[in-house]
Amino acid sequence: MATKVPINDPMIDPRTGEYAVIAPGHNFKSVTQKIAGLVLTSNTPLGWFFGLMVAGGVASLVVIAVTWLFLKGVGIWGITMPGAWGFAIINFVWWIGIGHAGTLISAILLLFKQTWRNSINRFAEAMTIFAVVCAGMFPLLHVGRPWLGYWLFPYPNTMNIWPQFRSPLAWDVFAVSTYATISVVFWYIGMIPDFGTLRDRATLPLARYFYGILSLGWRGSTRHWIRYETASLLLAGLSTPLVLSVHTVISFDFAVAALAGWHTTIFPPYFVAGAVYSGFAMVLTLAIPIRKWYHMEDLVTLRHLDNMAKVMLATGSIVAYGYGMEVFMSWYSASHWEFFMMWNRMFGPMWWGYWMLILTNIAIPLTTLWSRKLRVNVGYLFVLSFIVNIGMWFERFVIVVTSLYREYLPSSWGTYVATKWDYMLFIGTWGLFTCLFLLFVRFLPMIPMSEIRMMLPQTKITRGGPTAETVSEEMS
Amino acid sequence: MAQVFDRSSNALARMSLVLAGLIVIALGVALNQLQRSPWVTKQGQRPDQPIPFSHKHHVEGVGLQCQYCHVQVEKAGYAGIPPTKTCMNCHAQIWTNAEYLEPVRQSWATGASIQWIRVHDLPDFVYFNHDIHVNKGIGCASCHGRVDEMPLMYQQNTLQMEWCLNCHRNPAVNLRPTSEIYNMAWAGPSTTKPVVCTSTNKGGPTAQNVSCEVATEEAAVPAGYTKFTSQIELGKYLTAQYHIRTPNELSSCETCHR
Repeated sequence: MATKVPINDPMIDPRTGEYAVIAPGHNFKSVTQKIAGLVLTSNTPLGWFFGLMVAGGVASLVVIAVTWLFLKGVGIWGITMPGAWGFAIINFVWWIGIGHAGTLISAILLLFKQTWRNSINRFAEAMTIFAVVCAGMFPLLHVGRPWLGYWLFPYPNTMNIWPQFRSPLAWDVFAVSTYATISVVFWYIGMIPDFGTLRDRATLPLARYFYGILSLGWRGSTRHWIRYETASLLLAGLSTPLVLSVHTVISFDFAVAALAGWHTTIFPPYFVAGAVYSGFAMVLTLAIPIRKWYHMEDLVTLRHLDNMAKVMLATGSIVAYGYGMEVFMSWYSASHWEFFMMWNRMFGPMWWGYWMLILTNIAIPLTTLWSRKLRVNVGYLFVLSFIVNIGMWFERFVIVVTSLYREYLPSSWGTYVATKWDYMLFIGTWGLFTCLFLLFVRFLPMIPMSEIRMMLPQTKITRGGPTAETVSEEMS
Repeated sequence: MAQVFDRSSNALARMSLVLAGLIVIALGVALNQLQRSPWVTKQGQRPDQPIPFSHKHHVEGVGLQCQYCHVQVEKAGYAGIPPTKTCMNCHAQIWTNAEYLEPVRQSWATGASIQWIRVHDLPDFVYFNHDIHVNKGIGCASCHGRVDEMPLMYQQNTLQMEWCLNCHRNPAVNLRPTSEIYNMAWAGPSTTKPVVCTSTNKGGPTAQNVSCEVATEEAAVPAGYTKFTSQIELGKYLTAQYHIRTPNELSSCETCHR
């Protein structure tokens, strides 16, 4: 394979003939300096402060919206009967979906030994956790009596009452709390070697203590590494079924119900595909500014963007298949209500939701992503990532709202109009997400140094390649 | 460069692991204890009543039967607190000058109700019904404790849902003959104090078909009677005779939460 590509391609490792994932010219020290330097610098970029200020301001909307919600009740939202689920559920599914790409990158791509994941997995995992934080609020907030939310957990109580384990909403509690826990553990374990590096490079005593405690006495011995790799692989093996089941459980919230438009067996895989689709869009949204502002073009290369766009193309096609099947089945079922549901989605009062979804999720991305030229066009990808995230939001909007507001009985048809409190909480979660992400970028290693170091050509042992002496020379 | 953490950190790190585990366990145990503590359930608390009414004096001392004051207990869901009229039946003549009976006389003179403080206060989403319990063989003392020994009224049991459900799931352990409902000292049948019961089997709906007596160890069992020497045997018999419904029905939500 090495002979088929032009020999002077800078992305080809001259020693092994393999396609490099990161740009050439790095050695162990330069990678470490570059990534650790961002954290340990005393010169925080002004833009970071500005960003944190803006994001914090937006995040304060959450506080306002939640305070008013707790004071007045869920009636401040646009939910009515029959449309009793609205923005809260749409946003919940949307945020959870975004988180899934992080786990896909960190776990599934690890199982497939995709080394290109190494540059992006850390901030993709961070994205997962912060998205789960945003998502996790909604199930609690959208209940009328949030102070009794703990009743959803099975604990021995004086009422002799346990949760109903047949409800997918109870499964949500277990799915999301397990997902959040495993994601945090996986993320943290991945960072331990990097914390060790930061501890050793920090000059401020406070930073030394901070990263020293976080690194848990990591010395990087062979025994450490063997166990670290085993643990990572095990966690990846555990997270993979987890990520598939979590969004499956969330799709059950709808698919288990008897509503036309919800009661569909295609939901579990199609929701998961949609989650990965929107999640990768969000990774692009984050990766593109990061590589530009922090000059990471050599670590997050065009090849990464190209690969991510390809995953989006694949999952987007699955989602498109899902839409197609829904339309086909609503005709093929010969069910009056199924047929009306689809007709209403396309041509009813909320037709714009459906066509917006087709436009932003199918029409624009799936026609353009086939072109390699556009897949490596950073500006285009950045815009596209927003388009897909809008589209995936509309997907949940269409599923939740257009199935609910016109259901079996025409006498209980209503409509759904979101209020300013719906928007305020949704926009507020963007601010919260951005805030958390900015803090992550400043205080934690946003690209796994240890994993990037392992990708360097210097680690490859080939005939005529570097000897131990030359490697240690490069390291010093 | 000096070490970041000195040797003592080893001990601290190990201790923090143990401590974290202990904190989690302690928190769990504490919360579990707290939700059942008298501080939460108000068991044993004696609020300041307008008149220090003594059940001990009126039941044990005077020998009044419970229904003399709580007249509706067999017929209505709410057992009722006696009106001032009931007090004045006697206290128009007895202790007419007692200082602590002044609120009763005031109430009688003005017509204003005495503001008793409720000791057994269930939330309003629980529809507790006294008459069904009394008529199906649950004695006063099973729920309210030995009221005849209480100078001031207090709550004996938790009144928590698990406490109600424990009995609704296994009523036999608390059932007694309806003739013994108001017997505060009832202790259940034993080998020295067996209970003999007979059923007229008229097919009527409730306890009225069953007649039980406390016998002595030596006495012969009359014809048609069954002898019981343990609460479990008696409870099973009474469950069948009183037509007490199955635990599934009795612990269904609509039994108490309507």
